[in-house]
Amino acid sequence: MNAIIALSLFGITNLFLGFLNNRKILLPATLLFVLIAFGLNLADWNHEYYWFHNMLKTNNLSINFTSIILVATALVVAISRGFGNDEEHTHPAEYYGILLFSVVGAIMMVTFQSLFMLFVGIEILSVAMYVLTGSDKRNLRSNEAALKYFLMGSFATGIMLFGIALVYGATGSFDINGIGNMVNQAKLQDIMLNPYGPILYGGIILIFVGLLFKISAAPFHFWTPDVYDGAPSIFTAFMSTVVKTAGVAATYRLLSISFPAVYGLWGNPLVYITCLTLFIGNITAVYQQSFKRMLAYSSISHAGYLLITVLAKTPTTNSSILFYSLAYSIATISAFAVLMVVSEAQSKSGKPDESFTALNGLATNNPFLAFVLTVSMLSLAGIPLTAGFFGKFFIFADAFSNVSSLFKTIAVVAILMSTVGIYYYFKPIIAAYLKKGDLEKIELSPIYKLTLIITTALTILLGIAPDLVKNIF
Amino acid sequence: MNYQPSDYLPIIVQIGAALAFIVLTMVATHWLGPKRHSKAKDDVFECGIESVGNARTPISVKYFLVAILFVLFDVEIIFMYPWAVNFKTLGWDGFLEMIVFMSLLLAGFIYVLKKGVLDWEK
Amino acid sequence: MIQFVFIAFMVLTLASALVVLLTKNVLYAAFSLLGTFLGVSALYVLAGADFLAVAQILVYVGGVLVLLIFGVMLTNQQGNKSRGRNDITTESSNRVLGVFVMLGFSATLLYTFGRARFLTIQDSLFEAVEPTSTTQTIGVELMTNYVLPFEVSGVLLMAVLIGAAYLSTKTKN
Repeated sequence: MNAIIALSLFGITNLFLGFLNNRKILLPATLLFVLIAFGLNLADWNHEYYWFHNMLKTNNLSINFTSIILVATALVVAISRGFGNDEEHTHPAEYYGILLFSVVGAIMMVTFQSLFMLFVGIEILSVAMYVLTGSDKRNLRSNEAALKYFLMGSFATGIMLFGIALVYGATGSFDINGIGNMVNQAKLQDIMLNPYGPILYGGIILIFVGLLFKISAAPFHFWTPDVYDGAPSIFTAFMSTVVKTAGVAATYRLLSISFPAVYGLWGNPLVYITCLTLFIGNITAVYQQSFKRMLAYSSISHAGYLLITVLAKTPTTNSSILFYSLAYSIATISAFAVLMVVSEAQSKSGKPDESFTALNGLATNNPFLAFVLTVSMLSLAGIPLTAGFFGKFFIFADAFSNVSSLFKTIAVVAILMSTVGIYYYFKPIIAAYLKKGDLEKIELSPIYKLTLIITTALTILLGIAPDLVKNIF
Repeated sequence: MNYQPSDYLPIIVQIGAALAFIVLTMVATHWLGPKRHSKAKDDVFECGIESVGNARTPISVKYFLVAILFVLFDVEIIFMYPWAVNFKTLGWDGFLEMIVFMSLLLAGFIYVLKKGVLDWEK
Repeated sequence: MIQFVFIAFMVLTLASALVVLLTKNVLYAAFSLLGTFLGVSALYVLAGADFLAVAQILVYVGGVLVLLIFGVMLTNQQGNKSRGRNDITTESSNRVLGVFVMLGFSATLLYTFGRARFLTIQDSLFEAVEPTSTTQTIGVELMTNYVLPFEVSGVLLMAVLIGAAYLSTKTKN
């Protein structure tokens, strides 16, 4: 909660720091702000607080989610390089300021206790992302992505708001615990006898659709590839880590606290949605020529893996989601970090080249970057000795521990699809090591290099000793 | 404080009067005025100079920004309205809360002003 | 008496919404949206939500509609010069998918409201239920129980302000 207040103020501070005409101080200042927020967030550890008349609730789970969001934000800020030295066309003060505002929204999405806060949180996060997606104003694809994201996103938010209104009409409460109690009572009666049943069910379905849109689960994923592809890479990295984590956390929080009693209502469709998401994400990713677009489809498929454990609702679901989000976030950020420097070094007529061929021969002159890329790809594919392996392992273990035979089917689909994943995650590695290319040595700034070392080391460390963080979660 | 939907009748009457006035004057001018068509009369501007170019040229984006700012502060006013109704009940707490809310938007506004977004000559 | 008013405003709302949907002229669509907004706000009054009605008129009719018409004026309609109209031209209109989404959405809502058994708190549908002014309640609730969403929407509005200012300023090319 204190992190929310602090980050709102820091966002404003950042905007006004932009008037100092000193681009150099913005990056360290933003990093410092995120770290302060991280500290404030951890201060509530092992306490359970309700804030401002039950609007927000912080406990260890939400603090963990907030920590992952803040870590991912800090890493994204660290690889942003102050958005270059282009005085005319990039405005780092605005970017950092809006980024911090969007983190405020993300934190609200993982700590909400009232549906009000869920809605406002999603709105803040989405509005900030619409702007950042279109921040490259000279790039037509960035503009197109922003417009698509805005139109689709506001439509989805509208549907979700409608759902919230129906649920409120049926239960008379915005509080997720209060809704949970009412749903339990409604469950006891026959649906035909219960006067509120149909309205409640319709509302749950609509909220559910809105949330699935935000985490880009199939069949609500159509915006994802274009938006991820069109947005500037640094903001794509932010979207596919922070926004995804916050979305999954919000979905999980709402489904597990408010609607466990009507598991059949959202569980049965979610089985198909999960399988479809895994299938579409992985199969379509195989056919991509662009590394960035491949990462977009891979983010769809990772949403599918995360949904498995939301569905399985075993006691270990909390820690599985947290571990997977962390592993996925750090691997994705290092992949995007490599993509950003390489595509800029390979620009063709001013436009960064984001296809796989841009990575050709990366290992000859840039062994460090190639190694970072390899580790991140292996982690995303779920190869042992990387964090991604244990992320997937915990999720499949959750699926198999559930007694229902349905989960065995889902787990089998997921395992099949992750073998498909290995194929396309190896494409960049093969391009980097086996193909010939004439890529010069790329100079990295110290903070950039440090970030890559941290993400890679963390990926390997969590792959060898997952208990280090698994015990915290 | 109870109210009936019929309390809002004056608003309908006013809207009706406004619409009726417009319709009436438009019909009346068409009906009463003499019609003499000629090339000069049918020109867009009857002032001797031939009109040049398309009438549908897009306006500057600056007007749009002003409209966006207007909508934003319109929403702010909506938040202030129920607060103002209960000003005495809410007391200093409500006042401080409103100050916080206002200062957030004011910070944004000062930023926009300092940024020179509303500089018309630039 | 009141049911005729209700039905009149319902017809106004639906008819002008249909015009928005079916007309090809952007400006006509924007203006008939005015009718929809007015009709909806009148329905709010009849439903006893007076504050919402005021907000609807102030924000939507006063603000959003102006924004929309500015948007129409902003866009360059060189493509339709030959016909001299503000037509909306769509190159790809995937109507099949749109119809499917519409049918799914309508089916959900029809099922929801058709099956719901509303409690009757009054004998006749159009009998007045002594509506009380909601503005005072909303004001007190907004400043006490819901103070956090209130303040946070300040953050939201500020983010929108900055984003709009950033996106709509011209960059020198």
